[in-house]
Amino acid sequence: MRNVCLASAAAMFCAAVVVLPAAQEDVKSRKTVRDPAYTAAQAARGKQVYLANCVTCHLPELDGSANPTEGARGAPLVGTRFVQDFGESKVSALFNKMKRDMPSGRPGTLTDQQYLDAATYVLQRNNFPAGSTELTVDTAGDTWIPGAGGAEGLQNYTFVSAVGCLHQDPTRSWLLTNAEELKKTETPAAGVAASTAASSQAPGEFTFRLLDAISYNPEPHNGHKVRVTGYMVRLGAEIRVNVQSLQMVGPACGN
Amino acid sequence: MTVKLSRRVMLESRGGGLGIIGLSGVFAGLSRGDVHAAGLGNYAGPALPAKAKHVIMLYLNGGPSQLDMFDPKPALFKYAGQRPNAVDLRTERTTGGLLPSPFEFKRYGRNGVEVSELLPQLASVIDEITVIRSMYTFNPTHTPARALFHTGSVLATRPSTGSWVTYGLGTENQNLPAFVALGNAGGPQTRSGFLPSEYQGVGFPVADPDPEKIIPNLRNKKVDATSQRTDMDALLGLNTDFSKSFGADQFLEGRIKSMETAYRMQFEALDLFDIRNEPQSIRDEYGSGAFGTGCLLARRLVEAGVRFVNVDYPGGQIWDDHRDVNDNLRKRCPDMDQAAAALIRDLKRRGKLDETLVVWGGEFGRTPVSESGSGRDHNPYGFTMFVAGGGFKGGIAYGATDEFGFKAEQNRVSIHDLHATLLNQLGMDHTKLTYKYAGRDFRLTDVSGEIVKDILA
Repeated sequence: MRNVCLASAAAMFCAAVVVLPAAQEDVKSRKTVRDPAYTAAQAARGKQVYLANCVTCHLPELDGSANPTEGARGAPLVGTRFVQDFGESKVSALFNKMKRDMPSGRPGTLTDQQYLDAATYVLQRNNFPAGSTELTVDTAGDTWIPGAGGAEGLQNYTFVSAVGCLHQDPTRSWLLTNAEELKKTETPAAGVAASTAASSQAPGEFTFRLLDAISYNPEPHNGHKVRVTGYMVRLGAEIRVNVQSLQMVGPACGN
Repeated sequence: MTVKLSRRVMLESRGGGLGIIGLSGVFAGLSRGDVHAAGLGNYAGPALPAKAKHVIMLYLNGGPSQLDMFDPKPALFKYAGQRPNAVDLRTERTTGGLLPSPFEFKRYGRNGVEVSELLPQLASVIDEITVIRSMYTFNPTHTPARALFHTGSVLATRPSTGSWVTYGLGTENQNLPAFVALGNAGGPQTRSGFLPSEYQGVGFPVADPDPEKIIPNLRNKKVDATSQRTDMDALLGLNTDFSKSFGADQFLEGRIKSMETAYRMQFEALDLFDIRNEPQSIRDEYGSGAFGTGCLLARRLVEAGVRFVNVDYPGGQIWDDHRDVNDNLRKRCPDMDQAAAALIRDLKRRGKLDETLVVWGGEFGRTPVSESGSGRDHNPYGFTMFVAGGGFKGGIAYGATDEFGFKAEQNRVSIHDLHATLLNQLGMDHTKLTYKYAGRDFRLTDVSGEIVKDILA
């Protein structure tokens, strides 16, 4: 009996090893909202739905409770919080959430088309491109919202480095924008050679929120190209870095 | 020889005790002010300069995580998953390595108090808030710790803070209970223990904001006001006869008081408990959930003269995040944050914050070490509470825990210290607010309690 169990366990392990690359392949080949998933006209209709039903809580810039304005109460629908909440989900998760809970106090009172249109406006405000085909209930069910990315294969709390543009957003959060993928590293601060290499590094596509950046006097380097090291941490689908060093490598971001 | 009698003794000497005075006030048509004068408190100590008249206790049952809300500990990242030698405190359950908080902390207010991204609305009113990061308690298990939090004792028989406060100060409005509990109908939050039963908290559910659901059957649909009055007159006569024959009885007094309060509640409670009387903008500010309803009702109640209001976050022991603490807090914090901040902002706007003490917290905090990989265990050694209004400084973080947020180290504040400070702000010396029971004097603070003077304005 014990041998049977061992054999079963071994088979499961082998299956996992074999299946993993295929699963990764699926992630790469799946349809996302980076492939156009809605039209500009649909997002324009969605904007009207948003202004009529959502703007009171989520505010005109969709930043909701992240906005320092007193009394804002809806969850932010843009930026890192949107990625955190809906990244690595299908668009249908956004649609279903809206239909189930919104508008606040009278959920489910809009038509499916209005919910879809409002969802496309949210996608547009998150810089996902418009195309020639409208989003439908069916396509929402097989189109993904990508996660933040930029930390492929890294375990939570891995010590990493990244080069990008230091930027403070309107809510006073410090971000590393236009960053390359995070790299595992052992060295907290870069030497001269690494700094030189970092200064000429091309802009990347990722954005990481920086935790505890305020301990490293970031204000003078707002808008500068910097090299950051720290511990990578995942929150939902968002990737963050708990800063352990912050080093300016260029006076401008070069983008 | 001239004998000076207190107003209370004089009133009692006229027969029937205070309950009967109050009840007779109903029938004699005394004004609210007249009856108020009769509803005196029992505090016999020196009158301290009172900063506050009312208390609103926002209770997060289960032990909210201080590490993810008010007490940032970046050092946790360096040792994530590890258990350094300094982390040697016993935990309630099996725990693993250190678990960093993934939430962003920013500095807010004139003194740059750090608050987590989970609480943007409370952060916006941080200048009204005194964050106490160095709370500690004496028991790691919910039931006794909850009793300790509310009553100052782990025993399941002691009176709650609300009972002590209303026993000490009396009420401002005879038409309402002096001590109200919203979202909770019993337990240490409302228990009067050995204090007379009139000081027990009266619980109301707030899951549905319809006042008919909050106070069912308040309006007597079968008996008109004249008949009710006849009934009550008859009952009053019987009770008066009983008191004359057998002397005052505290249980009868309590019952009369309760009946009196219930009768009087018909006059204003339904309107008061109907938050639809508030402008929509105010209701939106608090939010539509049960905690928002509770906080808005709390404000309305203290404005109407209720002395002490306990508001429980709905869902029972829901802040007990033994697993999935990050996801749970992301789901749970927004409406708590919105309602608690709206309460403080609204009280401030109405000029009531100075005379109202708002207290926020749970029976303990949570460990920096992980449980189940994604949760945190109970932590009585160090946790965070906050107070607002009522003569506290505001805009400061007081005390500190150790490097990992496990144990209160600097300016430690016990539950008894907090209770002593609250009573001080209400104008009472905690060592003089006593009740004789079973042959000895009892206090809310037992034999402990130091006033935390550094956080007073």
